[in-house]
Amino acid sequence: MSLLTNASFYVIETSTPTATQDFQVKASGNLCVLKGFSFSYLDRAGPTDFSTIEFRNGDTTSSSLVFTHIPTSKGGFVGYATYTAPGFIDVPRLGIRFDDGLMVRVIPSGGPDPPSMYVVGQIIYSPGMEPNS
Amino acid sequence: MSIDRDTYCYATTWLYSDGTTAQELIAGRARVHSIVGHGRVTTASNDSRSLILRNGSASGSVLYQSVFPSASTFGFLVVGYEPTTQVNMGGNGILFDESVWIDWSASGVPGQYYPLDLVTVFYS
Repeated sequence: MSLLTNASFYVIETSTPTATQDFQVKASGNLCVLKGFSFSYLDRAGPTDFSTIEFRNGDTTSSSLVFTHIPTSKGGFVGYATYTAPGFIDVPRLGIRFDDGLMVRVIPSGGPDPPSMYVVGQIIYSPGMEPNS
Repeated sequence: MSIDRDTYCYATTWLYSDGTTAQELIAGRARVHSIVGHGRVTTASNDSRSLILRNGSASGSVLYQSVFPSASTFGFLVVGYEPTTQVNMGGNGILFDESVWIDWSASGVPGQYYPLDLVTVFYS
């Protein structure tokens, strides 16, 4: 029997605050089980800016949206609170299966003055060994 | 021995842009294990409606209800603090026999603003 015991992590760090970026956590065609994640912002300019994080099954060429996340967008006047506490999200049970690989899409999309910040994050996932029957 | 697929969980997302009228979030019998909400920009603090999850319909039994934190950390100065909050149900989660509907309390119960712009529900 193979077990979903080993966990791996993948670090996300956007290279620009102005464009949508994709991160291929697990290559397309491979099973992956999402266990948890956290994100925070850097260089946040406005109090209500935020990025949308999409967890997608597949890759940049072809993918389907599984669910959406928005990390804590910590406020403050411009120039304040440029870093936000990440807040770890724990995915219940064994996690969420991504049968065709896991891609994370970061979209700098919200607030009065977007896009204006970098995103950093970590993804905890299982390599996705399917148990033998 | 095999691990049943039902030991995994699934996720669905409600966005503020989907509208605030009661609507079906998950069709069919489901167990809700965890909820993640992101605070929406509001114009006043401490004045939010509560999130409700109903069983089966817009008038179904309320199986979960809570006010999520939102708005300002400075009280009268609304500077925009929109936290992402996770609530884990523990055990086998909350069982919805028929389906899961998302709804909001009436205005003034306790507040009038919708405090979240995103709700992600982890379920099985």
